[in-house]
Amino acid sequence: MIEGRLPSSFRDPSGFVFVHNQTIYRQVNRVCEKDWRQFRDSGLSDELVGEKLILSYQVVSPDHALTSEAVEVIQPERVSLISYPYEWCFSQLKEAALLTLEIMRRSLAKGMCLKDASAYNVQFHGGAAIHVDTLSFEAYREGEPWQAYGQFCRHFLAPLALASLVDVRLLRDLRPHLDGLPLDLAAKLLPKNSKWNFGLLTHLHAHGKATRSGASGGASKGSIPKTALLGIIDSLEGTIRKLIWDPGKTTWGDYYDNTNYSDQAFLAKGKLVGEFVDSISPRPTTAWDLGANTGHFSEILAGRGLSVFAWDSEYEAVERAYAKWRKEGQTALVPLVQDFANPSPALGWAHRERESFAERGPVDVVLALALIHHLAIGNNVPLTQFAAWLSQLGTWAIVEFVAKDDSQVQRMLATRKDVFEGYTREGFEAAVADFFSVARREEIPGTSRTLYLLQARSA
Amino acid sequence: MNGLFVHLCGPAYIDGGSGSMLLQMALAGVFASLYAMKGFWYKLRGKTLAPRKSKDTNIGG
Repeated sequence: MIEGRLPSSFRDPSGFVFVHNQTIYRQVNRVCEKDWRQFRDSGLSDELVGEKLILSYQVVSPDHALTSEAVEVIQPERVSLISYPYEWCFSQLKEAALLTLEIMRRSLAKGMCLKDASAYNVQFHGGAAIHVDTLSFEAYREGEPWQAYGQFCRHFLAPLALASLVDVRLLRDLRPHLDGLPLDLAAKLLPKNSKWNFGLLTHLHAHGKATRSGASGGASKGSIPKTALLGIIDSLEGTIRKLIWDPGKTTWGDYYDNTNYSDQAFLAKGKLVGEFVDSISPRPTTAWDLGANTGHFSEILAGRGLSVFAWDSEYEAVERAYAKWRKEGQTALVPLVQDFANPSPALGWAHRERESFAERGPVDVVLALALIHHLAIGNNVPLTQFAAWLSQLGTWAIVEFVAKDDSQVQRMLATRKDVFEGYTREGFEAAVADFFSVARREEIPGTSRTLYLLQARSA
Repeated sequence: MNGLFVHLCGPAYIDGGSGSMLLQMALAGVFASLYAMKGFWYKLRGKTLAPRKSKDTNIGG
């Protein structure tokens, strides 16, 4: 973990996040002292922390301050992984949107408001969405419009509307648009009948037009009463609640029902995964499940006390996993969307605002079950490069090698020339040898698949 | 924000955008009325528009 001020924490002059001796702190600057005191003294802080709407924190000695602008330093509860809105499924973005509106409503009730409404202020921690920016609050003054209204619509409403009414894959467009989807672009992409929805008509279509004409400089003078502001929040909430997306059935969404091996083999694979994890010393605490599908094997790891992030490239799989785990109240399992052939890059100012996928590792254990053929055969990734990449992500790796005679691989090769001479078990073992030592190797009974427990050589 | 005379308090650091500000003012009456009517209707039915007691995630709708 880097030490000093986080490169992404530079926009808001109210303070910043920094790391000292591997502990995360947030410095509160003098410029926002009045707002900070009101946030604390009004009871808003206690209320939001108490209801787990905002990350808990403790005030620490001002001696920890990094600069002389500080009035206070806080130590927020640690979030095990920072994820980004372009890695969330539909329900995660929707939950983050509703959380933001709920916090805004509660803030108004205490005479404060959210001065920003960035989706990046929300994280998934303890199994649910939580607001992490303790300095997002300022005093509300009667008559003021909501400064963050445009930002909220770009970060939440526009992508949710497009995902719900056009195609869920448009959520990926949050990756190039770090400050949310331009509203005029979203309005162009939405079906015409979306104008019959009053919320979308006003907050997206009219808003998109106003953004374009307003940018050229329209003169106006006025204010809006608090009731109108509450009405806008209420309307946004109602509009977002009605936006839904049904994951349905897709190629891999029903993967577990369509595996090419028996229930016995599936159980044996789960048992082996558990045994492999149990044999790791010291006992691991964090894991990434790559190609997790709906997270069956992630659950095995979570059952052993690991905090697991379950990554999959399919929105449908992540959506189902999130719905299931949210319903069950799972606190150690978070599913996220990730395309392993084109993983999240470092983004933003100087490429340092949003970390790449690999930069957020390594974790103790990386699970890569039935993933290798998608990368090696589906995307022509050489086995050596796969092994090198995996070794950056985890100290230990559990990899399932799917041999060429497996029907899933055969299906992939049915429509293309087999140019993968080196794709054999021996080829795989040779490829990983530079990066890992093989701690265990077991055949999965009744299949042509092999499960490996690998220990990174750098560990 | 040419010619837009909206008072903004505190150390606001994001550009709210003149279009977003103008739209809020233009639609203030509509949203205020809708909110007041909804409040009245809920009151009639014995409900309240007060903040919910716990986080409502509304997964899947």
